[in-house]
Amino acid sequence: MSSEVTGTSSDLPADDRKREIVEFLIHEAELLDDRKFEEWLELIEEDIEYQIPVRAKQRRSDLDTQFLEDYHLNDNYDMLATRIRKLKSEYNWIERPPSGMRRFVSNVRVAEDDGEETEVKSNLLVYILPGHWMDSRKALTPIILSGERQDTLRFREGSWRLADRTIYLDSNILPLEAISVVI
Amino acid sequence: MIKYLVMECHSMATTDRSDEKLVQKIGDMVDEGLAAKEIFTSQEVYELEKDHLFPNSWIFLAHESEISDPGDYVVRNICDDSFIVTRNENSEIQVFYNNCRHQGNPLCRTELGNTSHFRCCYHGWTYDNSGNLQGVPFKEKAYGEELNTEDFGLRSPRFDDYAGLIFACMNEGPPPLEEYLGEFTWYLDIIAGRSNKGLEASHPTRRIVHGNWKFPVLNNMSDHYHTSITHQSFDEALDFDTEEFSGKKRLKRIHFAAGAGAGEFKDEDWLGAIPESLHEDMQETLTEDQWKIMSELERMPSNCSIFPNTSFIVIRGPPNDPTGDSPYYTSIETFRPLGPDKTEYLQLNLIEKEAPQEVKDLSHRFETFHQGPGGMIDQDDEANFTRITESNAGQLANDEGIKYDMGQRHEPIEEEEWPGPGTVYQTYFNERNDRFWLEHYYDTLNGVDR
Repeated sequence: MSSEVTGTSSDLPADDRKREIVEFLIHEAELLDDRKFEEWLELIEEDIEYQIPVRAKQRRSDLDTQFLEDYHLNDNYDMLATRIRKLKSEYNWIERPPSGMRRFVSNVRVAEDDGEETEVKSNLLVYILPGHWMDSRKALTPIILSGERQDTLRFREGSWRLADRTIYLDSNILPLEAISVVI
Repeated sequence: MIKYLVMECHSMATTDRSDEKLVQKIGDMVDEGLAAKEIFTSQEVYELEKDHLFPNSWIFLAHESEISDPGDYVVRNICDDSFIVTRNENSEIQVFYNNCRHQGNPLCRTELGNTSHFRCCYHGWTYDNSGNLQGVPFKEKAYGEELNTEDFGLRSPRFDDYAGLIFACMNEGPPPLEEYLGEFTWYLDIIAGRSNKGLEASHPTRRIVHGNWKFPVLNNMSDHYHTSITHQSFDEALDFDTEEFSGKKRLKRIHFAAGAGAGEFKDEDWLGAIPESLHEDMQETLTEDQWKIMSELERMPSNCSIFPNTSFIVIRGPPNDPTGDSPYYTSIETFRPLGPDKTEYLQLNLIEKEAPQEVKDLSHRFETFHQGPGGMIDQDDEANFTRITESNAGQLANDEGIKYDMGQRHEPIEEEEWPGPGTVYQTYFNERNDRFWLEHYYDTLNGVDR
C-alpha cells in the first residue's frame, strides 16, 4: 500500500497510478486471503455496491447479455459489515474450520483517467477448499471460481478505496455451497 | 443350457429381493419415526428415487411469470430429464421433454430465452412452440412417405399449474395436480397465491451442494429446533435484539401437515412489512379464514415443503435491517438429486407484481442476503447438510436410524383453534411433519396409491 502518497490523484502520472492500483488490488486480496476481514472492510467505501450477478445461458451471442439483473450476492456496506461480523463468531459453522482460500488477481486493466475515481477491470481466480468438507475424496475436487471484476476505485484522503464492484463469474451454475467468505 | 438359464433367473431374483429388502427396511423404520440412513447415502436408493419417486410425483418446474410473453421459455429438470417450459403463441403454458423426436438431441441448450420455433441443431427438425413438428429438412429425399410429421410432435409430461406454480408429472398414475396437492392448496394460496394481480419471480440462482437433497426438504418443513444453534452466528452478526423486535419469536409455532405439504407458521407481523397499498388486494384474494391468520392471529407462513422436493421460505425483516426498512421475501427452492450426495439447488424469489419497484428491489436483495449462494442463513444449513450426508455414509455409523421421532407425545390442536386444514400442532418443536413426509416417501417408493 503506497501510504507515502499524498495529495490528489491528479498529481500522479498515469503509470504510477496504474502501479498503485495494482498494488491496491494485491493488498486487498492479501487481506482477504489472510482473513484480516476488518482491515479489508476499512478499504471499502460506505456507498459500495458489491455484486455478483447471475449468469445464465441465454440464446444470445454476446457475452454481456449472459448476465441477468439478479444476483448471487448483492451487498451494500451494512450487509458486508454483517458478513464480517458473522465471520468473527465462534459459532460460524460454515467457516469453522476455515476454508482454504486464495485469490489470484491478474490481467489488470485501468481506464485512462486522472479523476478521483477510475474504472478497473481485473481477472479473478479463487481457489476454495471448503472447511466444512470432511470426506477425504473431496480433496480431489477443490472449487475454482473464475471471473472478471469490474471495479470503481476512489482515491480519497490519501489512499485508494473500493467504491463499487461487480464480479462476472464464468459459471452459470455455482460449484460451491456457499459464498461463505467474500470472494 | 439349463445351467445358464438357472443362473440368469437367480441373478434376477436376487436383484428384486434386494430392492424389496431395502424398501421394506425404509418402511419398518418409518413406522418407528426413523429414517434409514441409506435413504440419504445409498446409490441404490438414488436409483429408486429416479425410477419410482420422481416420475410418480408432481414436481415444481417454474413460476408462470418466468414465461410471461408468448415464446418465452425456461429449461428445467426432473432428475436427468430436461423440460422446456414455454408459453405458446396463444399464451398457453406448454411443457415439453427437451428432446428432438428424431434421435433425442436436446432442442434447447440454453436456460432461458424467447423463440417461436425450436430447431434441433443436429438434423434441423423444427417444432413450433405448441410442439408441432413443422419442418424436416430434405423430407422427400430422406423419408418419402415413411414419416408422418403429425406423429412426431414434441412429447409432454402431464403438466398443470396452481397459484402461478407450474408442475409436471411424468407418469399417468398419480391424481391430477390439485388433488395431489390436496388441502395444502389452502396454504399455498397464502404463500404464493396471495394476490389476484399475481406475483412475479426473480431469475433463479443455481448451485451444487455436496449433500443429499432430502436433508433441506425435511429441514424446511418443520425444523424450528435447529435455528437458534445453526443460525446463532447470523443472529449475533445482525446486531439487533431479536427478542425485542419480535418478542413472541420464541413462542410455540403452528406445525401443519395437509395434503402434499407440511410446514410452519410463526408469530410475526407480515402485514407490517407488506406495503399497505397491497393489503386490500390481499384481503380480497384470500378467504376470510386465510386473511384472519395475518390480520387477527398475527401469524405468517414461515417455511414449508411440498412433497417431494420443493420448499418455501417466507421471512420478513425488522425496520433497521442491513438491507433496508422492513423487507420481506418469499423464496421457492427446489432440490434436484444428481447423486446420493450431490444436489442442484435452484432458488428464486416471489414478490407482488403491484409492489413498488423499490420494494421489489429490496425484497430480492433481502432474499440474496438470507438464501441462495450468498445467503447467510443458507450457508450454515449447507454446512450441516454436507457434513451429515458424509457422516451417515459409513458402514455401520448410525445404522440404528436417523431420529425424526420428536414430539410423539403431542396431540393435534382442536379445529377451532386454527382456521386452516390438515393435522395441526401448536408446539415449540415437533418432527411430526418429517414423519408425514417419510410416510409419503415410503408409500410412493412402494407404489402405494395415496
